[in-house]
This record gives sequence, structure tokens and C-alpha cells, in this order.
Amino acid sequence: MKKLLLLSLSAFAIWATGCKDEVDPKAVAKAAETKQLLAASKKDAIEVEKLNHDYKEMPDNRLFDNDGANGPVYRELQQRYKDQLGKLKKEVEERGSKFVVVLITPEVGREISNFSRYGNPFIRTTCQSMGIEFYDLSSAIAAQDPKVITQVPRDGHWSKKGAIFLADQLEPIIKKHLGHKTPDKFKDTERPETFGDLAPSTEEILDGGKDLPYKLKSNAQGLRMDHDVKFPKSKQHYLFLGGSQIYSPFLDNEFIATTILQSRYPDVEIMNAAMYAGCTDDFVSMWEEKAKYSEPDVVILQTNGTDITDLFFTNRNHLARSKKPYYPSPVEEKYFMESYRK
Amino acid sequence: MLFNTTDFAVFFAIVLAAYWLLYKWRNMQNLVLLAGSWYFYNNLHWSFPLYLLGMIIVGYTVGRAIHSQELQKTRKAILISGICLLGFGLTYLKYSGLILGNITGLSQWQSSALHILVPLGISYYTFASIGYITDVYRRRLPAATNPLTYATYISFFPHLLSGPIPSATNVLPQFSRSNKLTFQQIEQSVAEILWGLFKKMVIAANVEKVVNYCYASYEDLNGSTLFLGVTLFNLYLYADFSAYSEIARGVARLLGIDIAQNFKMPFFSRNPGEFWRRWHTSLRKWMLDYLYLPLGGNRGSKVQYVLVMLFIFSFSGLWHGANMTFVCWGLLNGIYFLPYILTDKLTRYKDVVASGRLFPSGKEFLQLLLTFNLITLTRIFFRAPNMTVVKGLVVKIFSASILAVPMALVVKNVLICLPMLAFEWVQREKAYVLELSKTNIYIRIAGYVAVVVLIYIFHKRQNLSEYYYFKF
Repeated sequence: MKKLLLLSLSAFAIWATGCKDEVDPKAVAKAAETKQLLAASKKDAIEVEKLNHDYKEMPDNRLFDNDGANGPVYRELQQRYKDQLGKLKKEVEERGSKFVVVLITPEVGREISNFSRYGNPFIRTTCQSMGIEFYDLSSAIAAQDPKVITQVPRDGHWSKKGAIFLADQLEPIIKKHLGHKTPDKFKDTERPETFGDLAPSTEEILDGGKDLPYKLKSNAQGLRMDHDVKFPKSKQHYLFLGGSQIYSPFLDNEFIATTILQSRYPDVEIMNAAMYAGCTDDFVSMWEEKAKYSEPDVVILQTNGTDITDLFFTNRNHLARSKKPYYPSPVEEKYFMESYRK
Repeated sequence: MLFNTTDFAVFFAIVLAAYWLLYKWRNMQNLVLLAGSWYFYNNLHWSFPLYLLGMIIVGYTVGRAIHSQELQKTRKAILISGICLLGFGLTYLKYSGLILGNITGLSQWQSSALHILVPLGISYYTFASIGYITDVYRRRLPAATNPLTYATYISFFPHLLSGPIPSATNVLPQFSRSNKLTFQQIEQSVAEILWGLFKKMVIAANVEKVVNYCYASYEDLNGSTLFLGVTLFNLYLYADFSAYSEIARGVARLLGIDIAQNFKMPFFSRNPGEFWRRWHTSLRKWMLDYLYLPLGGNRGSKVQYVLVMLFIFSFSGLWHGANMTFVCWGLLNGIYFLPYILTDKLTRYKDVVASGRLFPSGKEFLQLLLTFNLITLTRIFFRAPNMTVVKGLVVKIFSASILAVPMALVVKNVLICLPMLAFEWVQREKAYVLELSKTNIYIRIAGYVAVVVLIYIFHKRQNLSEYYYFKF
């Protein structure tokens, strides 16, 4: 009996040492992919650092120094903007979602900057030529008193009254598309953890160094909202993409335009994936990586003239969310060198 | 260059090394300190050392002039002229808006209209200079003969920007005698610097934005949140200001100079009188020596005593800023003294609360709580930018919404401050908070390392906000 027990134990030991853990091929592939991504991002980070060292960030407004909007650089940036807008439109509409562009400038009152002077007409014609549903709020904003709708003199972003004004301006767009639904859905396993770039489930006070403290609250999905978006979805989803005009710094969540719209339309989901600083390049990458998985039925993109100039390569290397290197085109390189030689 | 930056660490390391390499030559040591102090001040703005130089020339000359005279009347006349001269700069730069701003035809002469910068720390070195010439007049100390010694004393960078306001009688002579540093002094200095850094970088830096938020968004917050916000400001102010004072004291001691302890765990006070003996003690001592006593102090009738006290607190309020909020803050503190003055209980409690016991008695606990909350209420005036905000805060705090659920973020930040208070409570009978001197050296070192680790883990990154009291 003892011998039998010993034999069995030996046999088990031999079998056990010969055994290997069952390997999930998907996990192996994922690990390899992560490793590759990490290596690539490390390489990218080194390249970005090198580029930032070689080419210091050039102020956007200097792009108009020579020929205003007629310079070759600005024309190249316009083309880049057009391509990215077209790409975003295509990807949004392929999913069956409605794509809407809203021009919201930070310029209140009579003064107008070169960004708007040259950028706004271009954006308008580009959207028209691409058949994008387009709303230009710049005239309505310009007609307002900056002291009422913004936080001047400390900052040019929306005041509480300004956010209500913005919500009033955006409301017709929401109303117009009530009922539009996309059939396209993602599986739970496909969805990333977040749909926006904010750290998920945080509540903190920020002030942007301007002594204008505000409470930033993000939901579990990294969006500037007080509640989480539920799946499978039971409501129509509106997704806002854009920059600080929609993100609305220096206001608590409860006072920003998207929260106001949410309270006016409780039967739809208004999602705010806007970022403090960004341009179309960032909006496209955000859409592809995260935002599309929120299954929006309507995508409202906020844009303005700075989204064109922000595509200059030095700006991208300093500010882009992708953290990938942006090499200068020959035109950009020439312009950069000439500008700094002066 | 703030104390909690690597720039300062490098600067201080150079000054410290040069200072002790020249330990045989006192004048050379002073020269190092003076050059270091002026470099430190110049870093803020090139014009600031010019004000300082003017103040030094006036203070030194007036001190010598008083000293050279025997006739009391002449000495007094020189003293008064000196105080007027020294006080003119401070009065003009800080209060011309209040004084000239309301007079037609003269408003264009106010300092802000002329775009003149108010040098940081001007109140502190003006008060130090006035204290010096008054002490010379009172024959408490001889006038400085060496201008280098005097200039080093006034410019000494640890107390230049935010005090403690030095007492010339105690501090000035230290700049003319040779000094040495014992291991015990080094340990105490390091311990004070570490605790100061902990309070600034872990407590004050983390809660500062929430405090600002509460005062800026008072219209949108309920009473309980605002009450906690004001409480948080009280704790923040203590952490920030006492941190600066403790680091300054530690840094000064490493240079062989002993400066006053500005805070003696003020939140463990049983009445407002005790609180003010423990809070910003160098300003209190200055007021006591150069205002309260010359005005008669408590030697006259009770009415006189009360009036003197109200004047002192109003003056203290104005010292903080030319704003009605500060005057009200001072007056409210003065009013707190009235019941104690009338019942002769103001100077009670000179010992440490619950001495020899871990916990206070029920009565002591209630006294601590009452004093803390009375002081907290004065902070509404101290931090609010104007009386409209004061009114808004008071109306909200004393409304039914004081019973509402407070904002979780504010509660969390108040809780962040509790470990600081708890540790200070345990150490309240010690000369300084991190005093672990009776324990084994290895345990002490482990304690200091633990504080460093805590600072490293919990410090608020990229927060380079100035110390709150720089503005005064």
C-alpha cells in the first residue's frame, strides 16, 4: 500500500513538473501589443523632446506676420484642418451618427483677432463645401457685453451668465436632432474605460493660475459630468467635442452649458468630452481612441480659428494629446527658419 | 526664491558654507550674510534692495544721532523724526490709496497710480527699524557703531520677508559676537525646518485652492460648507505662516542667530488672550513694547484699558492692509477681549493646557473649541476681499443651511489638517514640535526620515504659491 502511494505521488510529481500553465493566446497577443506600444511611445517621447529642443514653440499669431492668410504656411494649415474635419465627419457618419459643427469664438465685443478674421470664413466655407450642418455663433457672441458673459478682466472664458447664453444658443441644435438614433453599438468588451481625457471619478479644485477657483468633477468615464453614462443605452446620446469653450474652465460643473442643457433635456444624455486645450487633431484622436465608444447619436464639434493655427508643428509637438512627433513640412521648416532669423 | 524650492536650498547651502568657513572673522561673516540677503531680495525685484538700503541708512543714522545726544528733549525729537521718516515709506506705499484716493486732486499721487511696487516685507523691516531706534532711545542697547552689522541685522534674509519681527535688543548683538554651532542646535534647526516644510508643502499647499474656492464661490455654497471653508482657512493660515516662521528660525539658527519663536501652538488656547500670546508673538511683542505700553497699557481705568486694546487691534488690522475688512477683523478680536478685561481674566492660562495629561478635561475641551471657533469667525473678515463678501459669508453661515450636508471635498480637506493638529497636541509641552530629544538617536533619525518621506509622498507638486503673509 505504501509503495502504491509512493508510486502515485511520484507519477503525479512527474506529471505536474511536465505540465505548463494553459496560455491564453489573446493575453499573449495583448501583452506583446502593450510592450510594443510602450516601446513605441518611449521612442516617440524621445523624438518629441528632440523636436521641442530644436524648434521652440512659435506663438500662433506670428503665423500671420508675413502675408496674413495668404502665406503658404497658413494655406497648408487650412488644408490640414480641412482634411481632419473631413476625416472626423466620415468616421462619425459611418457609424450613423449626425455630425454638427458649431463655431464658437472666445471673442466678445467689437475687436476681432486674425484667428477669427481669417479662420471663421474658411471654416464656414469648408463646412458648407463638405455638406456639414454648421452653426456660426460668432456674431451672436460678439454682440454681447464681455463683462457679462465672460470673466474679464481676469479671464475670457464664460461667466455663469455666459454659460446660460451659450446653452440658449446650443439648445436649438439639441431640439432639432431629438429622435435621431444610430443603430451601431459596441460590445461591452470593446469599450475602453474612459470616453474622455479627464482622470476618472475625480473631484478637485483648479484655478488655472488665475485665482478663479472652480470645482472640476469628472464621472467614471473621464467626462466632465456628474453622473456616469449607462450601457446598454436607454437614451439618445449627444456628444460634445471641442476645446475650452465647451469644457468651460473657471465654472463648476453645475454651471457649464452642457449641464444646463442636460437639465433642460433630462430624457437625453448630454456628454461633455471637451478638453481645456485642443484642436481638430486632438479631437480626431480623442474620437478614435475613446469618444466613439460612448455611442453618440449626435456629435457636436466646437471649433474656431485657433484650431487651424494650432496645427503648426511646433504647437503640436508641445501640446498634442497624442504625444507623437510632428515633423515640419518643408513649408513649415522654411517659415520657422525665416521667422527666427528675423 | 521661496524656502520650499531647490533654488533656495542651493542658495542657502552656498551661504552656509561660506559663512562657517569664515567663522574666525565676524565682519566677513556679516558681509556674506549681507550679500546673500541682498541677492535673495533682489531676486524678487531689482528695486526692492533700494528701499531696504534707504531704510538702513535712515535707521543707522537716526540711531547714531540719538546715541550721541544726552539731552532727553533732543533725543525724543530725533526719535520722532526718525519714526516719521521710517514710517513715511510704509505709509505712502501701503496706505496712499486709502488716504489720497479719496481726496480730489491728489488721487493721482497714490502709489498705485504711479505704478510703484510695494516691496515685499516692507512692514517687517520698517517695524524692525522703528523698534531699533526706540530701543536706542530707551537706552536698552547702544546704537550700532558698525554699519555693516546693522545692515546685516535689518537685511537678514530669514526674517526679511515675513518676520518674525526681530527685537533689536535680543537679535542685533548676535551679529557682532562670534558664534558657534552645537550638534543640539543643528538638530533643533533641522527638526524645525522639516516640520515647517511639512506644514507648508503637505498641509497649506494641498488645502489652499479649496479655501480660495470657498471664498470665491460663497454664493453657491451652503452654510455648513462655508463654515468649514472658513475653518479650513484658519488652519491653512496657521500651517502657512507658522511654517515660514519655523523654517526661518531653523535657517537662522544654522547661521548662529537665534530669532524669536513666532507661534507657540496657538490652537491649544483656552481664551482669546492666551491665543494672542501664542499667535504671531513677534508682532504682539512689538505692539506691546512700542504701542501698548507708551499708550498706558492697563495702568489707567478699565475704560482706558479697553480703548487702548481696541486701538491696538485696529492698528494691527490696518497693518495687515488698508481695507475695512482688516479694521473689522482687528476690532472683533478686540471685542473678544472685553469680557475678559472686565472680569480680570485676560492674563489667565500661562501654562500649557492639560499639562501632563493626554486628553483635556471636558471644560478645557469646551474652552479650546470656543476659542478656536471665535478665532475662526474673525477669519471671515481676514480673508474676504471686501465687506460684500463678508456679509454674504456671515448671512450664509448664520442661516439654516449651516445644518445642511457640507461639500465632501471641503470635509476631506479639513481632515487633511487633523494629523498636524493631533501631532502638535501630543508635542504641545515641548519647545518645538519635532522635539524628540529624550529618545534614542536612531529613533530620532527615523522620525526625521519619516517626515521627509511624508513630505515626499504627500506634497502638492508644482505648487509654488507664495506664503500668505508676504503680502503684509
